[in-house]
Amino acid sequence: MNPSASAPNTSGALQPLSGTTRRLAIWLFLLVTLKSIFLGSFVIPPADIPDESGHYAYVKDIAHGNIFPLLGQATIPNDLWMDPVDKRPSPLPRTNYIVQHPPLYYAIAAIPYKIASLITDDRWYHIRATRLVSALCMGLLVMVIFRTLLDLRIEPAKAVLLAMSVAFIPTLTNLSAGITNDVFLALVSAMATRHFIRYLLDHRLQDAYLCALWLTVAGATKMTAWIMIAAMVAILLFELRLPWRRWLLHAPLISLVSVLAPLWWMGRNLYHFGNPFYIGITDSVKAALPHLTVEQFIHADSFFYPMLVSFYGLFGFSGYCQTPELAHLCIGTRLTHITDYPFLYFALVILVLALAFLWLTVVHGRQLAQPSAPLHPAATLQEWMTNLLSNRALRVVLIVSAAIAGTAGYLWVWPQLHLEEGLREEPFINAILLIPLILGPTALVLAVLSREPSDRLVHYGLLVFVFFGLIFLTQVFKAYVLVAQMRGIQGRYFYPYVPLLLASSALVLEKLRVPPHAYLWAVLGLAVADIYTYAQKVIPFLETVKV
Amino acid sequence: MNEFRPTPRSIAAMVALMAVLLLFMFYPVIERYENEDVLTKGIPWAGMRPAGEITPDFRLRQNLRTEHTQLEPHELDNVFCMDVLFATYGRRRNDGLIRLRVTAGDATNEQLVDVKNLIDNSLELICFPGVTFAQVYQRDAWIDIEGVSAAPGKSVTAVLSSTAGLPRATVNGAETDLTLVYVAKIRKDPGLYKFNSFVLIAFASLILTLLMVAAQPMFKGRPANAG
Repeated sequence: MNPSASAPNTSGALQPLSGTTRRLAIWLFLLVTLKSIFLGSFVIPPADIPDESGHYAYVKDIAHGNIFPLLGQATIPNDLWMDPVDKRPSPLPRTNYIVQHPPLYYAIAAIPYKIASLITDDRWYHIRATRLVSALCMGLLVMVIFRTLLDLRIEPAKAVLLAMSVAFIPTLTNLSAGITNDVFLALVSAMATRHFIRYLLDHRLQDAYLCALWLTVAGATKMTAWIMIAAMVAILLFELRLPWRRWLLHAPLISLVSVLAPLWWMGRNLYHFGNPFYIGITDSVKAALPHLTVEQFIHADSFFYPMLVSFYGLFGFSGYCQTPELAHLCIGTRLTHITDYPFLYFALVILVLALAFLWLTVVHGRQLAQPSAPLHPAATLQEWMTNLLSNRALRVVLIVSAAIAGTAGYLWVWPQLHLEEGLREEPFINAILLIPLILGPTALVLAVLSREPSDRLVHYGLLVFVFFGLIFLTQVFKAYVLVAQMRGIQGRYFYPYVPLLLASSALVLEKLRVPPHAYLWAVLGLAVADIYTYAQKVIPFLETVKV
Repeated sequence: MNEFRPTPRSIAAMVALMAVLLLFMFYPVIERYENEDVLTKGIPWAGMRPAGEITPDFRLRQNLRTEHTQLEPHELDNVFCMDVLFATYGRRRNDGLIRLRVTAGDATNEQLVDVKNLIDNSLELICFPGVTFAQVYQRDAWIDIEGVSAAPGKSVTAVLSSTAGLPRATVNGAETDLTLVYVAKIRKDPGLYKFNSFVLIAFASLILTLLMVAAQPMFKGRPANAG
């Protein structure tokens, strides 16, 4: 196999997009949007999206003029979804922990809410109008990913299939039917990713600034996006193709644009709470397990399996509560997870992609360990580093060391991971999701050494994903030390990273010359798995849990 | 260049074929959706006391008026059901029939229950075809419980609660300070859920068809996609 020979034509012209394919793509995006609107209007009950009560209360606060509700003061009213039997204000109002998030999504969602509330007093329409934002974001997300793949010179037919694959992740389609900032964030991240990729391929300064702008928009949506800002801006600066004087001007400016919103939100948190990263957890909480080691942590409880399950198929929340008379039965949340055939098929697709990444990494590693062509003068930090590491022996040492480090990490971690009794597929899920651990160090080295932008993009996608995964795991570890429980293992936190990872995957599949049938059957399988999930599990679940 | 041009008729045929295929796959699943009982009102079990053995000379009357619901308007016309709490006096073998009659305005329906099938301290679901939730909602409605053929020492008792602030039961014509323990429900038609599934199948049929049509240029050799 010679991946270089089969590399997509990333330096050439865009793949021509026929009128038929364009029309089909537009119809598909419209259908995705309409499906989300249908789900949000008739299938998913109000409050049945994770934390939807908090999200909706935040939207209503803004619509009613409280633009910046303060964490600790903002509340979730008890007449949010229905009129309570007892009309008096609740003596113990629930604190709205969702106002920890920056307000951009909520300010946008307040617009359709406000319009609906001016037209009618019917609460049904207020809720559905507010839910429209996520549904529209879902269709736009698929469209932006499609355009990004076209920018990567991926054949349009393949780009349609790959972009549509995100529309068959049941948790994502569920979220797209509700009031939540997750789908909006995924869309904004996709926009940032598109300009990130365009800059790496074409080196137009405008794209670097637009990437930074979308990153700051992402930062104004959710704090988890701040990690993406750090990773993407670091790569942008590493790839910034400018004379050094201009580099010194634009690098700080691009960085500044990307962190404008996070800086503002940090300043606000610092002003009100004395902590720029405040999310409502006080530092005075006494750690339940102060001496816990990482080894003990990964052995104590499952992490990867519930994370992938919630990434793929998590449904329900508190929408089961339908009657005010029986509010005393509405305590806590009621959830269901998709862990049967659709999930296993999805895990299989992930496995194939992970093995494709692994195979391409081996091929790239072998290629970059060969004697290289004569060097050109460096125009970017990346090229300067490549030239600096041009010595073949040094390259071999770096690549082999990274591969050994990744493999050793994998072999050390995998046997230590907690296994839930009776959960036979958990070791395999762990084995699949740990593959990025092997690839992470090698991806770092290969991204520095590769001369072809599309090669570097493959590794950057993986690197950003692994970077976020490690920080996420660190946060879960910190929470575990505090409360001795796995907290916040939500696969949806990875959605903003999906567009870049999907772009990297598209390049991997192109380079490995994966036959068209494989694309088609993989995506059709995901589509059938999605409808199976709703017909077999979700709708009967929603039917049976109502109180 | 040879552009791939599917006709609307060919796409419509493919959508229909896909819908048939998906219905073949999922109809057995959707058909199994069961009638769902949705709770509308519940009487807490606090301070439970037996109402008295339900023999032919026993009669209990309870107001069922329900003031609040979040059911959709179209759901109000579903059949009214009740979970009624019975006690069988321990493991005693009982035998005979008792009658439960719901009266709401002009609507009335009665059901006979064989006491030998009742389980001690368990809720028994009884539906009253002909009486809808709408007829009970914000209107006075009554349930009467009386014995038919269950003899003394061979029958069961309903259970009363002392929870405050609720309409009180009358037993053998005498007012009590207790309320019948029951849970009001509607027997919901799963038709809406089936309809939702069919709509999602329609979406899936359209999406799968368009995906397959969009993928065609991949198999036709390049550059069939060039416009």
